[in-house]
Amino acid sequence: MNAQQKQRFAFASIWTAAMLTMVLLTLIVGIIMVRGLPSVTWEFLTGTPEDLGREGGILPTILGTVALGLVALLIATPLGIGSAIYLTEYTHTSRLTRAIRFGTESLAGVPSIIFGLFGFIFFVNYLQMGWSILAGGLTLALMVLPTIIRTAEEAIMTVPQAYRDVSYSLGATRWEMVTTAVLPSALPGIVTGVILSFGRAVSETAAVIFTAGTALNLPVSPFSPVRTMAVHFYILAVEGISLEKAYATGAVLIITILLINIGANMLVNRVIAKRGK
Amino acid sequence: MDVKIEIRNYSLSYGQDRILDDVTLSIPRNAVLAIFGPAAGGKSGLLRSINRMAELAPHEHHTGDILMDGQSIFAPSVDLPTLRRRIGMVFAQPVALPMSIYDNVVYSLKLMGVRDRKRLDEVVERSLEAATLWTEVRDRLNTSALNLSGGQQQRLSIARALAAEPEVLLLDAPTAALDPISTVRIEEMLVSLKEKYTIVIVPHSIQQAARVADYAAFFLNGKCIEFGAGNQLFVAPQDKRTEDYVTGRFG
Repeated sequence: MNAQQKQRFAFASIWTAAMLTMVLLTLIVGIIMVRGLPSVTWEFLTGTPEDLGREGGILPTILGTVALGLVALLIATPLGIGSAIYLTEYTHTSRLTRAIRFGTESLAGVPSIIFGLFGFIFFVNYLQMGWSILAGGLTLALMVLPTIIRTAEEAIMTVPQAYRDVSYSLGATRWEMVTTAVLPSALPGIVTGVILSFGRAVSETAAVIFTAGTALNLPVSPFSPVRTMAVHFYILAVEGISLEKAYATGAVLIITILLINIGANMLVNRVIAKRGK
Repeated sequence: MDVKIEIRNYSLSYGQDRILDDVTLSIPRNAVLAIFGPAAGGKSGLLRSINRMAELAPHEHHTGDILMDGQSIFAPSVDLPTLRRRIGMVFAQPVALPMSIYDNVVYSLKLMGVRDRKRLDEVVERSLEAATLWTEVRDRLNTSALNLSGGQQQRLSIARALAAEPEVLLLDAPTAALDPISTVRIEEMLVSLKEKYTIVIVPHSIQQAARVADYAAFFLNGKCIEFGAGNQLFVAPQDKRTEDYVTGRFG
């Protein structure tokens, strides 16, 4: 094969790979949408489930999903960004930082059901939170923390060293340097990590069943047990309650994640535009 | 010679790397001093020592002393942010922070907590004027500084350093990444700035050193080999090594 042919072959291969990915993605989302959307009505979105979910709507699970995702992010985002700033800006590479990095990376590879088991033992039983939004949110926070740390670290490390030098040379303290020169530049990357984590948190099932429960009531406080959309989908499908409602729930879940992605992107773009382009 | 900064038996190392070796040097007030010599001679290390940026590097270690107006810059009573604002620094690579031109210039003032819009406006105009950038950007102060050309960004960097009202200006090869026309503009600017500021420049060529310097110091392997008036050092160096470098026999 000469260079020309190799080039053509390589192009054909990567084109096929990209197209195949697109097709698969469309197929997955498409099937859920086609089977689910017809049952998504206003009553479905705002009603409460009846007869174990065979009839009625899914409002409690929408609220449960959002509440759980928010609690997880509210806890994991400051912890994760804080750790990332510490690791990148406040320490030089040492045995301790290598240990922390190795730890977070290992944590990212732990199956979610293990987090669920831990959450059940520690938050639900030991701290006596019971099955609740709080216990579930805390468990999910632990689960997504490594992702937030890693992505924030990567984003911070791509900020040019020159920004730091300039900031210091103009009399910034380390903290001022971080907040005025580093974080604004790293923001888009950090937000991407947070959004990814939110997606993971709201679509989680195993860890959530153990820690937030499967109750179908409307949540009234952080200590209410809730059922998320993902869990609702799982139970409806596995227990053969209603495939129609299961797909409808799945469609709503996908749309929710899509809306949050779009919203966050718009927010980041607004910030960048303000900085002047 | 009226001395602004006095460096006394100063040595600097980063871990095992010895950057400066027992340097003693007086920096004259309101003049341009060129620190020149081959790469890895300790020129940047010296500049970064004067505003204490060197100690940000891991495993930095120094001995000896540096005095500004007779006061040690390493004294415990010295407030680091204040010191760094008294000693402005411009780097080889032009750096526009990702914000508007206006916000770039007032960066140090914002850190100091200055919020008075009128005062900020004044500083922006005065600093950009001094850095010969004002007429080019006056109509678009609120647009991103990232859209400026390399030469403009470097003059913005100088304006940003001047905005903090420093007494000393350290320039580490400020024209290394610039085209000839931008280089000339910055050299001309330096000559006018020395009336108000003490300037230390690492020139990017001996020709540049000869054009702008009132005084010059030749650095080789972390040592200050020779110091003298610019014209004397470039025309009739005393030390054989300086002569070899100036006449282009090495470096």
